[in-house]
Formats: sequence, C-alpha cells, structure tokens
Amino acid sequence: MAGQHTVKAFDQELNGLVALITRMGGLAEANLASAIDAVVRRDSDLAAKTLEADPRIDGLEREVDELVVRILALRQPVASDLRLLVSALRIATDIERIGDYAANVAKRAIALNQAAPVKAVRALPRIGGVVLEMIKDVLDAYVTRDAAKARAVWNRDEEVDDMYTSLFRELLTYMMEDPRSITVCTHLLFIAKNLERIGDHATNIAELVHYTVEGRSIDEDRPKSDQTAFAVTP
Amino acid sequence: MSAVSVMEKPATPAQEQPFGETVYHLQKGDQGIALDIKDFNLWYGDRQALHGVNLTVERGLVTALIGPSGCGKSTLLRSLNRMNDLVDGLSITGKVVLDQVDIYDPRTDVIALRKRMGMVFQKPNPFPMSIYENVIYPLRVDGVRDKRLLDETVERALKGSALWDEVKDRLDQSALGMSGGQQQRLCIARAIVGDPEVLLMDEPCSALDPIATAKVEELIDELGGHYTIVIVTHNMQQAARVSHNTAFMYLGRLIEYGKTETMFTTPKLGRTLDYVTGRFG
Repeated sequence: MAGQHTVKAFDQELNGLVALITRMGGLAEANLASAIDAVVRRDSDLAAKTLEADPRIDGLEREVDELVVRILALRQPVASDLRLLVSALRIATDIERIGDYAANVAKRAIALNQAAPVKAVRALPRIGGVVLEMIKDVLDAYVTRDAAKARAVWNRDEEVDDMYTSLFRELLTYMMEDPRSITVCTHLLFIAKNLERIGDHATNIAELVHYTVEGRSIDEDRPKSDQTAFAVTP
Repeated sequence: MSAVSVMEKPATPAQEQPFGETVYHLQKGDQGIALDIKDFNLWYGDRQALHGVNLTVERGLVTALIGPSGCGKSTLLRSLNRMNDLVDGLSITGKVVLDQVDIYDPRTDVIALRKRMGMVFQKPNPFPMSIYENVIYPLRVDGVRDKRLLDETVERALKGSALWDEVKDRLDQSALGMSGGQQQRLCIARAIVGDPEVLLMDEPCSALDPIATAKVEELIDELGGHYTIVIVTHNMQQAARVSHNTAFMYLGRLIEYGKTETMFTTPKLGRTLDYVTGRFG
C-alpha cells in the first residue's frame, strides 16, 4: 500500500489512530522504565508517580476504541485499512495490560522498600531491559510497518522466558537459604512474572503488526520456553 | 515518535506502475465454465478500449466487474451479448465462447444469442403495459398463446424475483406505476422468463434507494446458483456483498481476477489494493 485515500479525512483519521496508539505505547514504556527504576533504586516517590500515570493509558485506550468504531461506521474500510483498525483495537488492549503490569511493579516497589534490600534485585534490570527493548522495537515496527522488525521482537520472547525461568530458580534458592527473605523474594517473583507477561503482550503486538502489514499471521508456532510451571525445588 | 504516517515507503503509486500479467485466483464453481473470453481486444475507431482480456465466467456463480470509470467493464459486459455491434467503427479481435460456440462467429444468430443471455440495465425499463404483459413479453414475441402456461410463467418469474406477494393483486395494472425498486425486480423477472444461461447486469442498483438496492441484492444472492450472473457495479461494497468472484479492470485491462473475499481482504496486487481501499479511482 502506498498512496493516499481519495478522501483525505480518512487518511487523517488513520494517522490520528496510529498517533494515539504510539502515544499509548510511549506512556506504557515510560511507566515500565520508571517502575523498574523505582525497584532498583528503592525510590518510593518515583513508584507513586508511576502509579498515578497509569489512568492516562486507560483513557487513551478508550479514545482508540471510540475512534476505531467511528471509522468503521463511517468509512467501511476493507483490506489493509480494515486490518489496521482491527489490530489497533487489540494492540490498545495489549498496551493497556502492559500499563497495568507496570503499575503493579510500581506498587510492589513501595512494598519492597519497607524491607531490607536483597541481592536478587540485581537480576531484574536485565530482564526488564530486554522487555523494554521489545516494547520500543515493536512500537517502531508498528509505526514504520516493518514486518521483519516485528518478527524479530516476536523471536525475543523466548529469551525473556529463559531469563524468567532462571530468575525463578535463583529466588527459590534464596528463599530456601534464608526463610526471612520469603516476603521480599515473593514480591520479586511477582515482579519478574509481570515482566514476563509484558514480554508476552509485546509478542502479541508483534503478531498484530505482522498481520496488519502482511495480511496473514506469523506462520510459525510461538516459541514458548517458560518452564516454571513444571519447576520443583532445585 | 509523534509525527507518524500511515503511509509506508513513498514509492511510485501502484496505479502509475507498468502493467504486468493479470493475476488470477478465482473460485471455481462445480458446474464448469459458462463463458470463456479469450485474448479479447476491442477498439472504438482507433481508440483501444479493451486490451487482451482473458477471463472465464464460472457457471452458477456471480461474477462482479469493478474498476474506475472508463476502465472498460461496461464495454466488456456489452461485448458478451454483442450489444456493442451497433456502435460505429467498432472492431474486435479474440473470442467469447458460450458452450463451445464463438459468439462473434459470423454464423452466430445474434437474436438467438441474446435470448440465452438476459440483460438488466442501470435504469429500470419496464414497457408501458401491464405488469403481467411485461413479464411474459419474451414469450409473446415467441408466439406462445397458451393462457395456462403464461399464467404459470408469470407466477414463477415473479416469485423468482421476489415480487409476487407485492403485485399479485394488481397484475393487470401498468408497470409504470410501480416503485423504482419494484420496476427493477420486474425487469429481472422479465430477463429470467426465457430461462437464460447468463444474466448480465449493468449497474442494476445505481438508480435505486438503499432498501430497494438491498432487495435486488438479496434477489441476486438467491438467483446465484441457478443462474450465472455477471454484474458491473460502481459500488465496491455491492460487489463484495453479492459476488463470488471479482474482476478488477483498469484502463481496458484485466488487472486481477479472483475470489471476492480475497480481493477485498488480501488482494495480490498493489493496484487492486489501492482501488478497493479507496486510494484511487
């Protein structure tokens, strides 16, 4: 697809929609970065600010919903335009979930800051960094309609799952060594799980970007290697 | 990431790129081919209006011809029952085959040919006579006088065109007093009375309101399966709603001809995509 629509207002509406999604994604990305910072730097103020920012993402999701419904009703889009709209609805939902998980990480940061620091925290920025990169790349792929870049993000989910599995084992070890760390480690475990889930949502978005651009789904099975559901004490 | 654009690479717009081979992915019916158009070229004087069109119409399916004004879709439709014969300076090469007979063969009886192909026009054209007489007009021309046969035919044709319940009590009244949508369905009834093999429709709904359009579309949907229908329409949504296969034409060429669902979701060519999404035309 290349040209502009004969009806220019249609192009403006589609551009507006892409801009909304991009803004939503940018906010979610920023919130997640702050939430991870708040955990690592034990900064409760930053965590509180991050929590306050989440409703803005929810508001943008409603704007996306309304705009999509309006365009569907008024323009009767087909083919690539229709895919852009249907995907926008689902991408907005994924971004909204990412925002919720980021908020949850911020909430747990506040709880963690009331306990003594543990070394296991050091593993979080690593997995967090990968997840943040995935979000950034998938949003870039969305804006530039780059199916190859979307596929690259999609392939990284395995890496996140592996990191999560190893962090899970590490935290179990800490808890066995020192049962007093169980509260803190449990919070960390949930945070790691949140990050892993965010990776899944970034992967969903990558699938939707691929579908929007190519008109068909990513044709392989999604890589899956989060093994913790089967994990027992090491 | 604020200044974003829905448009990707600003390549040459698809409609300005050179023409390649026609792309085909049509849905096959289970009753074979009704019409086979082979290497069909047509000139109005020295202006070529159709360029090497190759297209098969599947029997029992609805085939839609779409494309911007002047793309040749009406010219192609009118070539199928030799309606263009009367145009001065017309010349053609290639074949249109109906049941193994080339309709442009000099030995072809054009009147007999047109009986095998019903036609419905843009504006309803009921004759200034009663509803009853309109429907049986093709039989009257053939000299049928059996009253019972005529009565049965009228009922069957009007039921077939979903008009019976609306007009059964006023068959002797003038057809000119019917609404536009009813008139068009009457014309369809008249077109199917002779049991044609192919029904040609040239913008059958463009003079109708949305409700009448919906009724005619419903009728096309019901007739599909029984009749082979070729419909020219400016309304792409209509093509999407009523047809099994859609042929996209541009500047006298058949660009892409395939399953309607694919044509409106994932067409194979950029030029088709641009047209169905409203980017040119």
